[in-house]
Amino acid sequence: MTKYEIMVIAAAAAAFVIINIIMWSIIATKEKRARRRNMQQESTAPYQEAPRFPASVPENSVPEPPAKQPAQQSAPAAVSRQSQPVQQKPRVKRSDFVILDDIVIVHTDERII
Amino acid sequence: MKYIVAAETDIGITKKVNQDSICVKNAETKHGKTALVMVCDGMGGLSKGELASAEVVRSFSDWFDYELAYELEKWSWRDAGQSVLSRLRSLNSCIIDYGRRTGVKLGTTVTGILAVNNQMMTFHVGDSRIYKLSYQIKQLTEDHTFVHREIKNGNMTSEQAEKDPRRSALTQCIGVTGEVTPEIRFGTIESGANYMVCSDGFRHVITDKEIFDALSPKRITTKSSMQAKLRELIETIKSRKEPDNISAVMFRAEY
Repeated sequence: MTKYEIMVIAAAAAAFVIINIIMWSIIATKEKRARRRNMQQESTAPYQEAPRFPASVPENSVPEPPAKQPAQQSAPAAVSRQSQPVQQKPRVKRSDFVILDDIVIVHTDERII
Repeated sequence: MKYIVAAETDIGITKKVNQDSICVKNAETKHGKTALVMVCDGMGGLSKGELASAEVVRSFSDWFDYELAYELEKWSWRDAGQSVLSRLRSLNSCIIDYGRRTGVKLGTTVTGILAVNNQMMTFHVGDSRIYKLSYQIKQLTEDHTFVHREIKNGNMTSEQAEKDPRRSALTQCIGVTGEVTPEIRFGTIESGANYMVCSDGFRHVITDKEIFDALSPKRITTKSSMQAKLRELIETIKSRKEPDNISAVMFRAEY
């Protein structure tokens, strides 16, 4: 085998390896995206299921029909909102919000947050 | 439109701590009526279960007191659902993180109803339950338990599940499982129906028929009658040697 032939084989092998790396990284990225999309759809699934609310609720009673908000549109919202802190609004009780019943029963004074 | 709410909780006959936490709120706003009723059952067998359940209840209580009024200005059930979802996931992370830092095991179920005028949203993780009592009793939530999953998959019958030692094993709850997928559903409140949220301790030793007979919306129409009947049922449950903490809250809308 000549030096030239060895170089051609080496170049072909190198090209093969590079193409494989690129191909598998593309496949991995696509799978990751698909997995994330599935997780988001799972987390927003109740919205799609709303018309099948088991409490014998008529279908037209669902406040916002899924037809208006398909799952594909609601999925990104789920991601962007997950990182929001629990407390966002100003901690001021509004005078036009009159609490009539207020029963909170807990059995510890310890706090986590 | 009128909302009627009531709540009862009891430590039970064997536990040293009541790990259940409950929240019942009812408010009048310029946009109409709103109410939040929820039960959190701190995990039996896990230390500090009462801390996990208290933390979840406090978070929702604060949200109701300080944030809901602002959110009602531009109310959307879809946004409310997302907000509850992210709150539960955030609480889940906080409690898991606390458990890791302090080396204690803690967790809680969370099950509740948020009502705004004649619409409602249910949110649920774990094995506490929501029942709707109108002309019959109907369970609105699915138990997130191992045995329920097996029944659904056809690997177990209801009779086998009742005797299975894993009947209390949860498939998800707040503060233990890394990923939580809360069950969130929407619907219209039926006028004159009674809705009840209860911990598993409330329902182990009484039948659905007994619950319906006691809390039927035809007979139980006032706050005082709700309170009295819930207490009566709890005493019955205790007399039947239920070992768990016992909690239940009720909600009724009339319009």
